[in-house]
Amino acid sequence: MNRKMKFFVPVLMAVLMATLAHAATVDELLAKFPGQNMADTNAACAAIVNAGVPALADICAKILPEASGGADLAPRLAVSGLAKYCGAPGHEAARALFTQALVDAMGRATDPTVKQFFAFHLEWTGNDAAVPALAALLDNAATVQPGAAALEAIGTPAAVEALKAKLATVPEACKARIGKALDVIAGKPAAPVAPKAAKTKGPSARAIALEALVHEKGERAANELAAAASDTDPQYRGAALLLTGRIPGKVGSVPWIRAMRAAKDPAVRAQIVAMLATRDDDSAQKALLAALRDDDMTVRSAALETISGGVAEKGQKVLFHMVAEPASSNEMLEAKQALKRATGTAVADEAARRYAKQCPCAARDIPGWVPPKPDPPETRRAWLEILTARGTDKHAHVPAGALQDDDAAVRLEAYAALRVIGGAGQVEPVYTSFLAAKADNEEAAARETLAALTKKDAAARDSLTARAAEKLTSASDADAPRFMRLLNTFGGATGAKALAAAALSPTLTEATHQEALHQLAVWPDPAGLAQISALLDSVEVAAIRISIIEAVCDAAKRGSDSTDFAATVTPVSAKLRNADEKRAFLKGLGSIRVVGAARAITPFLDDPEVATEAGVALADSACMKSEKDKGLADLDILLLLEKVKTASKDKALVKRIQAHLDAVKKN
Amino acid sequence: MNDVSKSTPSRREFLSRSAAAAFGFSIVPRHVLGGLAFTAPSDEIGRAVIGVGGMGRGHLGYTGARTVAVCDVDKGHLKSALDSLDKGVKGFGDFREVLALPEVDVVHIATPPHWHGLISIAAAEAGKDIWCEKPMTRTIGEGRRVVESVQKHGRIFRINTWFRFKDNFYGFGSTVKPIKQIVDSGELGWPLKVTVGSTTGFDFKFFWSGKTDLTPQPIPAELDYDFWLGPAPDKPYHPHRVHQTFRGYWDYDGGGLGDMGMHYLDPVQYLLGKDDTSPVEIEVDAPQQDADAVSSWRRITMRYADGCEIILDGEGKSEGQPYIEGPKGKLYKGLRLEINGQEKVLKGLPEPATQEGDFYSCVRTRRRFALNESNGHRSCTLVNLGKIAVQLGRNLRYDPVKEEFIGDEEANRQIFQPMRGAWRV
Repeated sequence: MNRKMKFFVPVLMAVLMATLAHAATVDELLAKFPGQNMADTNAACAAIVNAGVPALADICAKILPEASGGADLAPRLAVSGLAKYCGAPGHEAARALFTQALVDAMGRATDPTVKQFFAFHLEWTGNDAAVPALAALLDNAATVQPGAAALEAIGTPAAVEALKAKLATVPEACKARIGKALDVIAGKPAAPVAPKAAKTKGPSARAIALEALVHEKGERAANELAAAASDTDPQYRGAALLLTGRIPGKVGSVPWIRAMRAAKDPAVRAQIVAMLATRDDDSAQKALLAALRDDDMTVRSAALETISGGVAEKGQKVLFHMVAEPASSNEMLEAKQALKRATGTAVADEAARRYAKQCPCAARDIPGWVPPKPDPPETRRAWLEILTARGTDKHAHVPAGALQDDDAAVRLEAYAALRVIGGAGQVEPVYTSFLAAKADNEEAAARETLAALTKKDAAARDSLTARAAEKLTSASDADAPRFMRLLNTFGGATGAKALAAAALSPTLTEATHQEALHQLAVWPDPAGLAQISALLDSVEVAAIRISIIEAVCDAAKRGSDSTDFAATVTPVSAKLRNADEKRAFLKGLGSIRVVGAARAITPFLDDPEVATEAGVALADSACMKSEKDKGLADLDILLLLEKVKTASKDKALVKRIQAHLDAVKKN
Repeated sequence: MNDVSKSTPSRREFLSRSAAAAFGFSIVPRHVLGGLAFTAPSDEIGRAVIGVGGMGRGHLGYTGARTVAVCDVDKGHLKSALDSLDKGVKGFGDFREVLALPEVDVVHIATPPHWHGLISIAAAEAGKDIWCEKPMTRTIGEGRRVVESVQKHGRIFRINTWFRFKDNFYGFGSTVKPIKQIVDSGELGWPLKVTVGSTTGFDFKFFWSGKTDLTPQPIPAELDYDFWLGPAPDKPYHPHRVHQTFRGYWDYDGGGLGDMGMHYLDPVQYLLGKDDTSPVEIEVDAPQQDADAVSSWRRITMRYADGCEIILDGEGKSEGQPYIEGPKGKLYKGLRLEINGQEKVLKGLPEPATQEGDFYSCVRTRRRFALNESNGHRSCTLVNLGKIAVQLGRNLRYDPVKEEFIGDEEANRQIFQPMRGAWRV
């Protein structure tokens, strides 16, 4: 070996050994990913950081293009773990090292998906040091998205400068994404989403020019946008209308208002009205109100459908006229809806005044007083609808008076209004109307209204309950159901007792008794169930006893969340007199999928009269019906099912129970 | 009385942003299209469902409105939905065309979550009321924008979860109402700790995990994959990324926590009376997460300023734990209550405040729905705080007023995340 060789061989050997040692270390480092907990992950990341730049570079070099199917999972996990570790507070030194490693790796990578991977992690943890490298991604349509996204996330003045500098030089295909990043960093509101326009891959040159114009803002931009009103290309006009959203205030509105006045085509005027409705400057709002008086219905409708809030309040005189004397039924509808969206109390006051002056209740005992010609029912309803939307309790006397209106639809609207704005003072007129109501829907409306009016007034509710219970004691078969339904609306023990008495009343027919039982079965609280159960002590007729038993089960089922089966349902079993009653009871319990019901079936499993039916009822109550309805899984019920299965000769029943037991075991 | 924003468009408003004009439609209300004699059916609510591949099919059956349009970026899903509906229902591949329809009053959003915020905002701007699947939004920032837009435009908004006001609450064995009554009675004391996990009746569905070995596959002809991705990063197509299994990827959702979190956590937020705030500390115990594919976690603890805690138990280690525990009492699954060590049954408790649970009625009366954009954003924030802590693999502190993390810039970058292409909130 010559002298040179004697010198270089050891050096080469040292380098080789160091490289081998380094490579082994990187593999060992990667073997720790993914970390199984925070401590392990942090330790693994810290070890990589401590191993320094060469280790980071090697790991980044192992990242493969997206199509590799996970062959580079460990390095990917290492990089993403490092992004979170280095981004944590207190790890600024590590962050600088990591950022540089990603920047260098991004520069070396040739595959766009690999560049995207690094840029994505700079989105998480990048800073100004990464800006130049990220800016380099903006020149290429394949990488502009991840580059701009990372700069957007970094959001510093340096990122902004880099984005702006590129905006002037990059290809057209890249500009939109850069422009968006600038808008996001500046906190500008997003442009509204238009069909196709934002999705268009190759926007027309005119639309691009408009976009660029809008960045300038100002009067020149606004004038040029508004000039699109007379353009024959509806897409261009639409884009201009859309972009006006980025020029706030009067500056953006006034040129369009001028254009609207000059436009001969009502469809164009309507489009401009729709755009003006989205603006909040005074000029736009005045123009919107003026559009209510346009000769063309299309334009008036465009204004009506968008007017609301303070603008509707200002325009209420025109709007009320449109309701009272509409050019078409649809115009009336839209004007009414606009008034319902108005703010302030003036609209409600005016609606109240308009109805009240013709209300039958306004009849004056004044010599020579001539009632005004009434508005048609549709208009009267409109006044009441407006009160529902904008009225307060001070207007409640108006719908209370409207309960005497000749028109049924108006009366129903009055009930609806009272449910929203009524109070204690309207209980009596509503109760009077309830007593007089002839149609089912009016009676239902009156009940619903009484419930709403007394919801927070327990004393008023109790008083009405007592009155209805009193009426029920002397009511005929024709009237009794009305009071039963009202008592059901209120619920409670007093009403339930009154219905229980009615169910046994010798002055009422069986049909009315059945109605009483039905109402108790659907009673809104446990008082109903308690009363039905007690009825079994007083009734002898077999058919009625069966009805009572069925009603007990119905009531228990309705309130199964809160039914205390042990206290209210199970004692009924002691009152059952024969096999028919037991079967009715079991059938009812079988339809209730609650442990209390299943337990109430238990005593009948050993009853020779009904053991078979009891087994079926238990299966009905407890066994699963589908994947979503898994049935009962309580141990005592499962043991009973096992017992039934063993004793039963019904193959279908046995199969059903076994399927349920298997499913419970599996879960 | 609900107040309506000063610039509220009506529920029949045609698209006010001239998007229809850009597309060649003129912005006219349907009565003009129908001629002078046309009378709009005044009480009928027109509904559009956006996303009819999975959950959206269920929305088609909800009563109270008439379906007038459906939308899906998968032509197969769209055709299947249209075949199941009456003739006359319109089908679209682009939700923006749906929003331009004057006959649509309400949009149901049943797309994957990475679209929920964008479409909700666009729908609010277009004057539509909104019924949105959970989670409300994929990020906290999108949620804030949805709240702003819905309130600015005076829309009625609801999330598609309901346990705070009806139905049995999963394996707990009760509706939420009696639980609320017990909490409000004060018998448990304060602050409270709520444990949400398999032993208290809740399954975090860790089977919604992503795969780390995806190789690019050809895009099916019927799927507009570019539009399916929308604001999400551009990653090669693989069937596991879309249609049900999207739940396993951070870009579109957040695993079982993202999918079921609002169902489980919104009632907890309601029970604790935290509809207008968020936790201040989030602690996490989880293995390291992949940047793309979601995997499981062990435990997430969220703590409010007053000491109330929500524990998400992903391991089922809470056997025997109460669902709610306070200094004076414990409430177990099945509504079993212990006060000061003794079993107790509470009766005669006052009813909680009434909640508006009929969405279409709210659309008509303009009264706010029980689970609306405001409290929905807060319960979705619980989900998103958990996701961020799991992804970062560290404990976090949060300011519920400013809605940002304290002293953690990297976490704050997850609040508003950059969107692909022209999409943004």
